[in-house]
Amino acid sequence: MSTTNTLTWNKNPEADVAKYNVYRSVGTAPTKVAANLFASVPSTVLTYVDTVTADGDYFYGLTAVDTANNESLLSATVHKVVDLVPPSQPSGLTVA
Amino acid sequence: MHIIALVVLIVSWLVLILCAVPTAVLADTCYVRDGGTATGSSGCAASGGNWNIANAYDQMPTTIRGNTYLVAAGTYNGFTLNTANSGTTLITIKKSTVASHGTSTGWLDSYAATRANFGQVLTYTDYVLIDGVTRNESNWNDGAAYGFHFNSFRTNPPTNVGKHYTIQYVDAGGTDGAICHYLPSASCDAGVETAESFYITGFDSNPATDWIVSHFRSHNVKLPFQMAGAHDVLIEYGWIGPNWNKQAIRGGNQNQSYNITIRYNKIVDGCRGDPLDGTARACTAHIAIWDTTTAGWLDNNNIYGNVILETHPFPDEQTDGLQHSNGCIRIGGGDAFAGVVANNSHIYNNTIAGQDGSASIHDCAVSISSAGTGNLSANNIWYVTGNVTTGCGGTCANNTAYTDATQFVNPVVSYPGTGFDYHLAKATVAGTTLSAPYNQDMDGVTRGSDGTWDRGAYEFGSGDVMPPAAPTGVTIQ
Repeated sequence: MSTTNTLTWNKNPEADVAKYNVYRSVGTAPTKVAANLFASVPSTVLTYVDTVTADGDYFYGLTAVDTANNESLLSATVHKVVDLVPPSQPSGLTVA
Repeated sequence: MHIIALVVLIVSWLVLILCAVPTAVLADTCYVRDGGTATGSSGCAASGGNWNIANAYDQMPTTIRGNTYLVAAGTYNGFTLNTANSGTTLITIKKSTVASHGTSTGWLDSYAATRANFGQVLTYTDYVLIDGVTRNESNWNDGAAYGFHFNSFRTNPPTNVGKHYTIQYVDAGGTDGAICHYLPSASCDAGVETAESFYITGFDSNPATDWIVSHFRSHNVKLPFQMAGAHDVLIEYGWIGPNWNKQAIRGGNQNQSYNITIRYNKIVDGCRGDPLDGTARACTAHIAIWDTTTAGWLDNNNIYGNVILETHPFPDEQTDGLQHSNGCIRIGGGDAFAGVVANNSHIYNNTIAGQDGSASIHDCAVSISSAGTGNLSANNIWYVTGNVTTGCGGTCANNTAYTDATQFVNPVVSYPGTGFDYHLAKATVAGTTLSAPYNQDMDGVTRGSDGTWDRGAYEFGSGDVMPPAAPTGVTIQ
């Protein structure tokens, strides 16, 4: 089983933005460290779809990176709870 | 096949298929609006909640794990977070914005125009996200631009100690402009209900852990951060000051304070001395992590990339004459400081400026336990305008005091310090090259990319060294 988390954001105003970095962590808000760098997309793309296969509270933040490889501060973070596990079967079902 | 058996088989298949469909989000979205009249669950979307008066809560309701509470501009009471844990499932409290406010039913953009103001939050349970969403990135001291204001956040050790908190884009403290000089005032310390903006305090086997406080402002309280009995805490991108205590950020204090990172903050008049402590009221250190007796409890602390500015003459010091006595940043015991030594701790690339030129003792050095191992203080700079002791204790490298005002873009030191800018106007003498995460300054500029690793909080560089703005309008579905 899987589901998707779809991120969208505004286009940065700077003309020299080369890409956006997507930082992700599960359970807590990400910090801008290599361990949390999850994906990069070109500057022309303003959305990212993350397909997740495990339960968790998925947090994301973005940075913009310019052509000189200067990276912005992390954006405000967003998060989404993913619950892929269905509840257990009802029990004690009776009919009279 | 018997018709009944066939029906049972089909139903079984349907049940199995339905069970296999992933459930993306079970959490509910709830609406909090000043003046709302919703009760029970009726302020949450699954029960018809929206922004209309009858369908929104007037105050923060009892929280439910997994739910997101969107809050409109207005004034609200403080509240207690004590909902029982459920694994790592969060409670999320978020300022509503034009771009992200849940349903449009009953929504007005004016609900996002100004701050949502709360009283004190008692942080007794775990896994909480509080997000004001907005602030003025050009002026972190612009209190009105933060999405949320809280009087304070407070644990209550030894039992009610929250863990796993993320608090961001919040203003926390007392009344702007209040001078908390000598006598406590209802305008200070957030209406005297507490003396800290962030009381992140635990006790022995029940410490406060895994807190992130980011993009915040702490002001007009006695002590911005108390972290006695806390570990794994990150404090970053904050404006701290003015505040009145003997420290701005306090750790150790006869309990554990390890794995603490304090980076990229602007501490401006954040340590004006304790008005209630008589002749001992002087600020002892802006960031003070010492005084505990258990080995290891002061280790792995990192303080880097901060600007510490004291303006002068500040109103409460014009005739005071009492100033610092223990440096501006100190980690660990030993060297005449109480407690065990600290190990594997670092003080890197901080800029310290504007300390008063009074004739009394005024020590604004940085230091880490000299008897510890793996410690280093490097690349710190001071802008010295008066009778100030600068320098470094413990293991040190490449720290420098400047008296040349042209070293900085706008080195204001006079109260109230408006318009100061301690970006470098020219390169410093080369500092020590360090690895990540110390290789970026608070603007996100990569250190040393021009061949010289500058000292101080800001990296200097020619050409295109400034990063883009942080992306905005991020949403998730």
